[in-house]
Amino acid sequence: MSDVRLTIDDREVVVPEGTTILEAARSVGIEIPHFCYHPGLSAPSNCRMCLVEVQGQDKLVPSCATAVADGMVVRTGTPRVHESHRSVMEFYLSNHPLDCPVCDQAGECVLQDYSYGWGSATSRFEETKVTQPVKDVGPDIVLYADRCIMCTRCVRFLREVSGTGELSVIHRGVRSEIHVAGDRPVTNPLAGNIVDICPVGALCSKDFLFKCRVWWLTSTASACPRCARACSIRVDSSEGRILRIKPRENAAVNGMWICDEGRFAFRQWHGAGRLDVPLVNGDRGFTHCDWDEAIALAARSLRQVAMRYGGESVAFIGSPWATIEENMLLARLFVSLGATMGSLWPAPAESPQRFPGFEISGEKAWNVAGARRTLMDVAGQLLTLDRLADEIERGRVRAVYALGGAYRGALVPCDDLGLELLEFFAIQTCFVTDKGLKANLILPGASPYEKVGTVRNERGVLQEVNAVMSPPGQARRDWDILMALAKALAATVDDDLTRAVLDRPAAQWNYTRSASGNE
Amino acid sequence: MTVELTLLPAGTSADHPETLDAYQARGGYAAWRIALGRGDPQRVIDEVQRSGLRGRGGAGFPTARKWSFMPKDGHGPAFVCCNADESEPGTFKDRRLLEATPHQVLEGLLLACYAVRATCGYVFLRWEYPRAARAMQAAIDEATQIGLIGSDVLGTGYSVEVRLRKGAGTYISGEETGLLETTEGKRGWPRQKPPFPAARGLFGMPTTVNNVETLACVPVIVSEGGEAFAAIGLPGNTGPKLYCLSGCVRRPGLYEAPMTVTLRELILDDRFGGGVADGRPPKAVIPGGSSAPVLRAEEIDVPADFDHLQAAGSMLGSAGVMVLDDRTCMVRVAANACGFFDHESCGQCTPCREGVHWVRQILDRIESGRGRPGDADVAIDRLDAIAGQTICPFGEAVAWGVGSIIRKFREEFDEHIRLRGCPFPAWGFRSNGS
Ligand SMILES: Cc1cc2nc3c(=O)[nH]c(=O)nc-3n(C[C@H](O)[C@H](O)[C@H](O)COP(=O)(O)O)c2cc1C
Ligand code: SF4
Ligand code: SF4
Ligand code: FES
Repeated sequence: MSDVRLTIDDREVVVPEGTTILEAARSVGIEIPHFCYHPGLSAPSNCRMCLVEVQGQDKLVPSCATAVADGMVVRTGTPRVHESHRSVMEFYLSNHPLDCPVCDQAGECVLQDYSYGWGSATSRFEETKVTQPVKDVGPDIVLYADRCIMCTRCVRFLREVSGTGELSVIHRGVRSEIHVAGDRPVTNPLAGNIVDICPVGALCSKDFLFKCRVWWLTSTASACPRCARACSIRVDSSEGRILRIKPRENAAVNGMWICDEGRFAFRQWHGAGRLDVPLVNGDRGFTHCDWDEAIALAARSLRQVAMRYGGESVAFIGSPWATIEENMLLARLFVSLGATMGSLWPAPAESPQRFPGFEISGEKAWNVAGARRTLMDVAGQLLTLDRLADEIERGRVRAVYALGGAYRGALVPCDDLGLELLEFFAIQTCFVTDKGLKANLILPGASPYEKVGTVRNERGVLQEVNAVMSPPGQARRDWDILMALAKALAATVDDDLTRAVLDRPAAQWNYTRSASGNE
Repeated sequence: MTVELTLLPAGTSADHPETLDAYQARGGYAAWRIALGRGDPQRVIDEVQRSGLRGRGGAGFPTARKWSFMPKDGHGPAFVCCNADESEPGTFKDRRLLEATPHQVLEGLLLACYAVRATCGYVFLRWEYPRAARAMQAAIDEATQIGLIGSDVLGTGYSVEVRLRKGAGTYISGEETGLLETTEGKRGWPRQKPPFPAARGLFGMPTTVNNVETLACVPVIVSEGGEAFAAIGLPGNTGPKLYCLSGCVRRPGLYEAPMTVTLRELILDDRFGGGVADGRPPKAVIPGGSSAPVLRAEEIDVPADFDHLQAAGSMLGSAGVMVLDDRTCMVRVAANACGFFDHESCGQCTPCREGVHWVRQILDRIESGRGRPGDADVAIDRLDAIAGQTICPFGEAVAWGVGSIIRKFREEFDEHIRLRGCPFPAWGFRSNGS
């Protein structure tokens, strides 16, 4: 495709053939107001908010649906264009309920934002507003049809991206209404995205509804821990509580969307049952102990086994829920103790889910690729769990130290490892089930939303993850636990370890901060 | 045999659709055989070019020019759609053609298909015309039976199908891209142009949309030659034309005339309307369906053709000539028209969806005595803000049609507001208030 050269607001712009005026303007930082246009969807050009002037054309043209042409002269800020924007805004606001004080979208509403630019404080509209119902359209989605501006983004998303088509438009003219057939609510695994792309407060997430004014939210850029795609996300929290998760645009990872499992994955790590104290397995079963005791016990036990049977009798198991840095620190630490055998918990496997415009990975952990590669890098080899079980059975492995961190209900598959044959088994993790781990020591680690570090997704893309909150109770970040252990094992630990680990991703993988955001 | 240059041949009636035999007996399908025999689609276009035929659907676009936009080297499917959605208020000409002379329409459609090398013709018929649907389907079946439609028609190697599609009762499906969407089985939501239908039309393939009356003119043009057609009327406004006369006129109905006929003649002449009803003076005439700007009584000495009506600030549109006498309340006329548009706006575009409803409410208020000073100005301002801002020309239809009534009869609006009510008798045009 060849390039097209045009002028937008007296600026020379060069874009590939086929680019729309709106996108060409965007590429040089000129934002043309729009409602119906969404970069991930088709352009019906129905909102008429994006009209601009093109030299030589009588009518204003919809910039979202007009392709650039060589020599085109576009003006986005003339009085005529301004009047068009103003006029369209007046039409929108004529029938809009203007219930911003009770609307969840207030503060991040495109209609509200544009009102500042092109709205008017007074209204000439003295007629009766059309009223429409509030209705459930899915288990987590409610439609305030009154606020709908008929941009059809939701309808198009469900046709073009999820391919499920639950929503449609019924009636005509000013009575047009977004409709969901009673027996086909919006339940598809990508449903939540329609709430994100609704430019106004028409589609709301019931989970988030009335919980918080958006301006009180703190946003943290991170990656989604739910599957190996590791979608770029923005975690919105308030007072240390996650209230909602939204996608961040990242062409290399997730495009513009996330799935609902990921959107609500924080519930799988947080809340009831979360391990928040170190547990030691003694004569009376598991009892609480303090961190100094726990770390001292771990260090003492590991050193004993290493002295008695040799360093190679100590093995480690990395985790696909831990970051690259955590896995690396684990491997470095144990290799420095003399360990030669390491393994990696497999992520739960489901079948991948494919949609016309999105795919959910079947590997249910974010850092499978990063953990595997890191452990291999440091240890030179990685045993399967079966091999490790073999080594344990033959008595060649006497102690195992593991990172865990799986979500609730997905405990690491340690049943067949022969843990009872070991002299020492410790694991850093988030949950303990009633079955109980046959561990000597269980250390409360951090959930993915409480970590800082780097993950590598199934396509090899590295992303930075950031802590939204601190781990609960006495739980600690896994990195900190490993550092404490390293310190307790000081004799055999490389002093430069911290720096070596922390420098490594940046230096060698050319990792750059922050995926391209859409904020 | 010479074929009569008329759209209302003697002996035909909407009560009995003309049979294939009857149609052939008056020279029907001769043009189809001639065109196929010549073996050159371009010659059909050339003949239509010579005839000066302009589209009868509303915009008056030169038909041969429209056809020439179709790709000449296309390989895949291409379509011609016969627009039989006829929903413009005051318009009932296509109905007569479909119900009385369906074969003539069908032959025109076949010729258009051949001219643009289409593989299939669609007849898009409004749902409210069940008789026309039956007549058209029967014609298609008859013509198919004797091999005038189908594969390898008359051994010429040209294959064409014709399909009938019915709308679901919406005016906007008559807009050409709304028609395409509806024919595809979707909501009648017009498409942003470009791309134009000739580039990407029905099912994404090259498509031409023509009105029923336009197509009904094509057979005689091909069989008698374009010049014969062009000899009727003035250059640029050629051929016989159907006028739908309604409103306050003695003899409302469908009339055929060359386009040199003036609006006044159509209303007063005994061959046509025979005068304003009850001997009243005319107040206004809407010459081309409710989308066409209204003309005041003193403006009706104008030939009812494309160019003169445009010069007079209106348009021939669908040739739905609506006559309004001096007892007619123009506020009610405006409110009624706006009520129709409010009911029929597809609702895609913000200005049309919100604006038409807004103006309709203003007009209803004024008519019912709840008008306020300034209302008419807001209505005009809002209508002007719709025109030029929408996906399809419906926006302009409302803005120009309704807007012209307010502009030209402003004094009546002001009087309603001053009197807090309507000074006219209660009969006649009434806002349907729904
Ligand atoms: C709102 C709207 C409604 C229309 N309805 C009709 C209709 O019912 N029948 C028709 O032939 N053309 C209708 N038209 C015009 C068509 O868009 C199109 O121009 C016409 O069918 C082309 O045929 P022609 O070139 O033979 O005139 C309508 C246009 C608009 C904007
Ligand atoms: S519900 Fe939201 S996304 Fe859907 S059409 Fe209405 S405003 Fe647009
Ligand atoms: S102008 Fe009106 S009728 Fe035409 S597409 Fe827009 S909303 Fe629909
Ligand atoms: S963004 Fe262009 S018309 Fe809506």
